Amino acid sequence: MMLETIKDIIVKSGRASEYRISQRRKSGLEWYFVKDKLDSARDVETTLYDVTVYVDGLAAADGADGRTRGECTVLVQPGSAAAEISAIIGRALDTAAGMKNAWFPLPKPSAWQPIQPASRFDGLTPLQAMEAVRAALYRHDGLDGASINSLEIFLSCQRQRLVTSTGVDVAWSSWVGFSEFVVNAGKRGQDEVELYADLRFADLDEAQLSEATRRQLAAARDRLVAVPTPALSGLPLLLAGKLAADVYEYWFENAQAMAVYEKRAAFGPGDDVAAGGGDGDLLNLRAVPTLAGSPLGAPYDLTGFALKPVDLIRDNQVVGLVAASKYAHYLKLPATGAIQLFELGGGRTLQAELRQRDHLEVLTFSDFFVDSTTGDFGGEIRLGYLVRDGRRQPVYGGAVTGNLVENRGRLLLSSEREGTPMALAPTCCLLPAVSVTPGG
Amino acid sequence: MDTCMLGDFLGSHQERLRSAIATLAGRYDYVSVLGSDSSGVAFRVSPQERRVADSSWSERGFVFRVQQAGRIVEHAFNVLPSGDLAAAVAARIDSQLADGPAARVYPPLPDEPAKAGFFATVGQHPLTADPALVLDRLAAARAGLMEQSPEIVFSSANAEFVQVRKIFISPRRDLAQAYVWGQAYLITVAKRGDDTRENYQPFSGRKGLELLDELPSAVAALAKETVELLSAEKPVPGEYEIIADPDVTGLIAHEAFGHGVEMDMFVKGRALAPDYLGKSVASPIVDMYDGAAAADQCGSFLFDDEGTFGTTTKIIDQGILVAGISDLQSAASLGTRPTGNGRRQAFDHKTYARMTNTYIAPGKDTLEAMVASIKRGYLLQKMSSGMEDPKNWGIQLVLTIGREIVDGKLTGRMVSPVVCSGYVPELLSSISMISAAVELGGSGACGKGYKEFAKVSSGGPYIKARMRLG
Repeated sequence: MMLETIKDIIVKSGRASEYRISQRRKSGLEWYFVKDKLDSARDVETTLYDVTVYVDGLAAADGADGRTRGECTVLVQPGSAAAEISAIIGRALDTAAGMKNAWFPLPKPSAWQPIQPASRFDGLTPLQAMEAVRAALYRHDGLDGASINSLEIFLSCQRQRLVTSTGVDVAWSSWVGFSEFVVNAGKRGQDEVELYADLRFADLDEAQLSEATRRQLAAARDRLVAVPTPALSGLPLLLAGKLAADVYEYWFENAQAMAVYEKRAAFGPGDDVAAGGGDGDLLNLRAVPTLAGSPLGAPYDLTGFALKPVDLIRDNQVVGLVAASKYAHYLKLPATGAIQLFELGGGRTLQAELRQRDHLEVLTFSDFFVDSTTGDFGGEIRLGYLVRDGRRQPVYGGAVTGNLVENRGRLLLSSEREGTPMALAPTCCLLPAVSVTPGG
Repeated sequence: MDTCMLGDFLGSHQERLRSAIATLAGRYDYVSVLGSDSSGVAFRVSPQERRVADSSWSERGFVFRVQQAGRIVEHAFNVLPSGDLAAAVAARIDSQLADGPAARVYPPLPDEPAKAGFFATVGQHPLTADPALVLDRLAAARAGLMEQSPEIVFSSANAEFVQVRKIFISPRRDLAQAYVWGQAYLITVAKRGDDTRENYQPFSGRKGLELLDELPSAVAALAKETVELLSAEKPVPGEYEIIADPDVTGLIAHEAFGHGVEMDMFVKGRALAPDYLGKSVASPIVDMYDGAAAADQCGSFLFDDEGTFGTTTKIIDQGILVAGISDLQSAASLGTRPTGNGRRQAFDHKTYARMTNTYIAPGKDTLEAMVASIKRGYLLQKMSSGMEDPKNWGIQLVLTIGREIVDGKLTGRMVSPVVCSGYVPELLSSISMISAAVELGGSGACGKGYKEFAKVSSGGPYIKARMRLG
């Protein structure tokens, strides 16, 4: 009803060349625990409308064909009266009319029917779903003396509908789950340690949920016996799971048409991402709209483009870019839609073999960063493992820094892959060129 | 000057909300409602493209909070029911009280009488301005950056303004406030061969369009600094004498003893700070503060998201840890007075104990004397990110610029990026000089972990200390 009202106001204004209306309904529960007791609980019911209006014009200097397109995105709050909506839309149209960006097309309806991964949350009541997540996350609480200090669970069902002036009218729903948990090991006081982790999920995979907290509880026990990171030189860095995916994301971020258009990207179509050198594994990168268990994907982008997997890098050569309609048009590339997730092919070496080599693995950073523009990465070590001469010593403190340009062509990838919210990608990787600041 | 107003939406619903609160007060031990109607606009000018969109900080909705038999439950929504509001809220609250796992019992939340309003003035109201004129000013700054050097391959100019409008109603409190904050960024990327460097200059304050007046004078220095970064080397890992500029000092204050004294972390047993109250945690020349009333910056307000008036909290007094900052729930649990630090990302997010304006107080030294006192070290500038570890007192700062100092002089050489790590008490105890002027910045946002973003500011003077760099 509200969506129709907004649409009518835009159409009746007669000023919009195109429009896009997105309706997002969220219904969620949130539980906050201290130890194993519920500290507080919340429920959230919201509906939001994002509206983008486009106004075309002519300017000989802009756009290959002289056409221009201005756009403005506004939020329309549910329950707004028609007069308020008209004022908001009017302001957006005025703003869009004042902009003279190069023209670009909006996607038209597609015969392609994207498939949303199924979720085992379907069919459960919100309370049943929350209780199942809680039970799974607490399954290993107290393991060998390590315990959950505090834990938060957010679970919502989100329904989205997208209507555009080009005829797109699509709807989909998804489960969005998030948990943040802190675990302790040791005795209260100076000796007690804590580790933080979070988890995104879209499926009720109880084994995966309980394994996430079990791993963290085991890590907290290792942190108790860790020693300050010593001075190290020449040892490669091993990263696994989400940290490895953060590294892989550098190539995904640089394979975005917007980054190439703005001349920020580290490489472009046809480039060799290894710059011809190195004995590392070949990179094979593919953009994918959704991944099983991930709440971050979507079958359509914000403009209604029906998303399909797209190859980006094949054997180190850039063969495609993630290109929303606008930047595809600007760069004269095939449009792919704004795909959010990726898959990276496995390497030549088993994870176990990579782990047998001398290396420093960092399991938890204070805040791991990877700069997709400069390639810089690093962070302070909260818990790592120094593997040398077959011995594995937990370490903490100090920091790791490096640059992915200096590591290009030299990255070693495990042949096994695992899913993270962002990617299906090699379980771990070995980065040879890093610098380690000792701790303690 | 323009005055910020509460607006029709909240104004038109106040009576209905008061009526619902009066009804629900007979049903629950504690009840309150926070209403938000904040709107903002974000501008971006990048190569060949201009964009305008509503700010992601925009929000409109309500959250009812209830305490019953010690349990705390909330219902957040943005579509007001057409019928009996109190009954609709009670139905959602009661279903949560009836179901779910075993819960903690909290002491009664306070509800002291208060009626107040705050309606700030702003130089040029950003939400009534012509967007085209704002974009033109940003475009001019961006073009200025590109003209400075052929090695600058990308630049953008961004600005965002938000008008915050909130009401808080409980049986004994009736509060309203409206104010504006603004932030802007100039961003540059320079390339030389395979080397790519990125830099930025932030601007912020409880300001309207007058904030944009500050952009032109920053253009040449930012461009020069970005090109200099192309010659930057990696720092040799080790411990150094450092000078933190006011932004970096603020980041240290924020990460070291800002997050570390958020008292909801005390309740969870996630902080070492309770064991150190009344004890030395920093050099005796260090005083540190937080508070919505402590400064006029992006973390300033009349009342927090639980209806508690903003205050000024002295956290460190001459090196001694003296107090933390709290939300209502943690203060009730710990038996302390709430400090006005209960904040939400938005109406549909939970309240946590959060910082507001956090800073280290001024000293008596000069920057020149600090530089002259250093045998070998760095002047640290341009924060990129930071993270605290309140339980183990670790700290990580990532900075874009370290300017080398040798034998008391800046050499002109630069290192980048700089990852600073260390043990918080060691870092704060090593502070040996503090300059006289305090500057605060409030661009960006502060997260609790990796979520729950809140608008804060942080800052201080230049400080001299020791840190591990890598």
